[in-house]
Amino acid sequence: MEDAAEWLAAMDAGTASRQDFEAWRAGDPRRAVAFAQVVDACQQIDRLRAVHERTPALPQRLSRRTLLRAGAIAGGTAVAGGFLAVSAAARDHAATAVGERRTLILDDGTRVEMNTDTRISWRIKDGTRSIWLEAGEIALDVRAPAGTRPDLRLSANETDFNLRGGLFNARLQPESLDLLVLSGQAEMEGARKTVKAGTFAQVIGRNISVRPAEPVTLDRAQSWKNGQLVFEGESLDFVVAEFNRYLTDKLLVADPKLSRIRLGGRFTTTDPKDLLAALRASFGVHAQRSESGAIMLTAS
Amino acid sequence: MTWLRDVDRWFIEEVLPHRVAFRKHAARLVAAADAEDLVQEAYARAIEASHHREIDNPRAFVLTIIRNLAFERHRRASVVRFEHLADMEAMDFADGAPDQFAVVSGQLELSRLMELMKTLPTQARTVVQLRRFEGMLPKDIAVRLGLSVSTVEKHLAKGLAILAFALQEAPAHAKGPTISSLWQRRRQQRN
Repeated sequence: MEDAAEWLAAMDAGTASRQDFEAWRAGDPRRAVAFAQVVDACQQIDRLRAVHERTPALPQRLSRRTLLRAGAIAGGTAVAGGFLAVSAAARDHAATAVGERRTLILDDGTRVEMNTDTRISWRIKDGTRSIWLEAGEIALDVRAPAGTRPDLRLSANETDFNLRGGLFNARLQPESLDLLVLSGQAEMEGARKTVKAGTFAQVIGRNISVRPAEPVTLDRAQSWKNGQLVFEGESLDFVVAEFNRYLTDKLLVADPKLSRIRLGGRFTTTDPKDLLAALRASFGVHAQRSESGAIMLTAS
Repeated sequence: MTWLRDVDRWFIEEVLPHRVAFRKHAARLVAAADAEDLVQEAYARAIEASHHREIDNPRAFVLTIIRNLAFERHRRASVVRFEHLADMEAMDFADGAPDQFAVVSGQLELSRLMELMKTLPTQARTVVQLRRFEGMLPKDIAVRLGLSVSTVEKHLAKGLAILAFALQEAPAHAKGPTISSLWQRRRQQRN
């Protein structure tokens, strides 16, 4: 295994010749196996990159030994070395660009799926765990093995929810915070209001309204994770607004008459082509790209 | 990676994901201390397969090699443990191709992988991280760390060897969220 790893490292650094390597590998099938296993190990640890992408924070308290070690290597590497230092007192941050989706697994095992154009930060420390939704939409899989973990506090727009183990979907809208509880339960701080599984809470200012989740709401919460948008007879304005969350070149309804169109269907978020084709076929809506890149929709 | 032959790719994608099944199987056929060696021997046979792309069920293929090798070993051995022979008769190879879930479960869970990373010597870990996570080239890593390229190479080799070795040894199911459980949940949600 050591030999195989040395060959891989040497090939990687370009210090070994392909011919020598092939000769070594051909010498014994066990070498080929060991080499494949080392490559496999590489590929497995590459999966950690997704977790690594959360901006690593420097550990706050460096032990003397760590300092010495950090001194031994050049200064800049302390950042990389700190990647596994989990107890950062500062918040960690992550963001997605328009059209991007990303999954993170936090140190407490909570799984966070970030939808397009989303910004979050979090802090997992001692007895508390908190996540801040600063923009966009996230799906949370909060782990809570019986009684061992505190609630996860979800904060957005000056509203705090305590989430008890389960699946949640939270979205920050311009006017409201929407929380869908798929399983588990959530409690809004200060309001003493419990949001149970299968219900949908909307917070506007200090007011919270809770109602059973509609099937389409549940469907949407699942679909965006697969890159799909679901509509059930909403107005074109609504459809366009939803689509635009995912697009850098926005759609624009250039003709107010079109707003009355109602649409249903399932579309991929990455490409509005299907939508535009459906609009043209069913409603004769014309799409034209403007100089700025925006796509103008007009009645033809 | 360009230095992988087709058979290597096949081996990594079709054979290694079943490593847990192979080990379990081997452990039932020979003494526990010899199980890993038996698996490695079977791997060496499998990777020699010239017709690898025609093998319908790589998992069953390797399981059969393991069984045959175990047979040979028992024939040579002076003392054969009875329960191993009994197992050999009862072995069921009709398990067919496992579904994707079972394949995924052969992968190591993330948290265990992170634990493994932590066990690496500091320099080796730093180099592995810079190379694999940051995608820095070995020569750039050398500059950044103030080391020679050959030293970077050594650290990288050391780190990868430890990881590759640990991956073979690692238990399949430790506690904590596994990739497979996430997968399973997603499947349930879809249905």
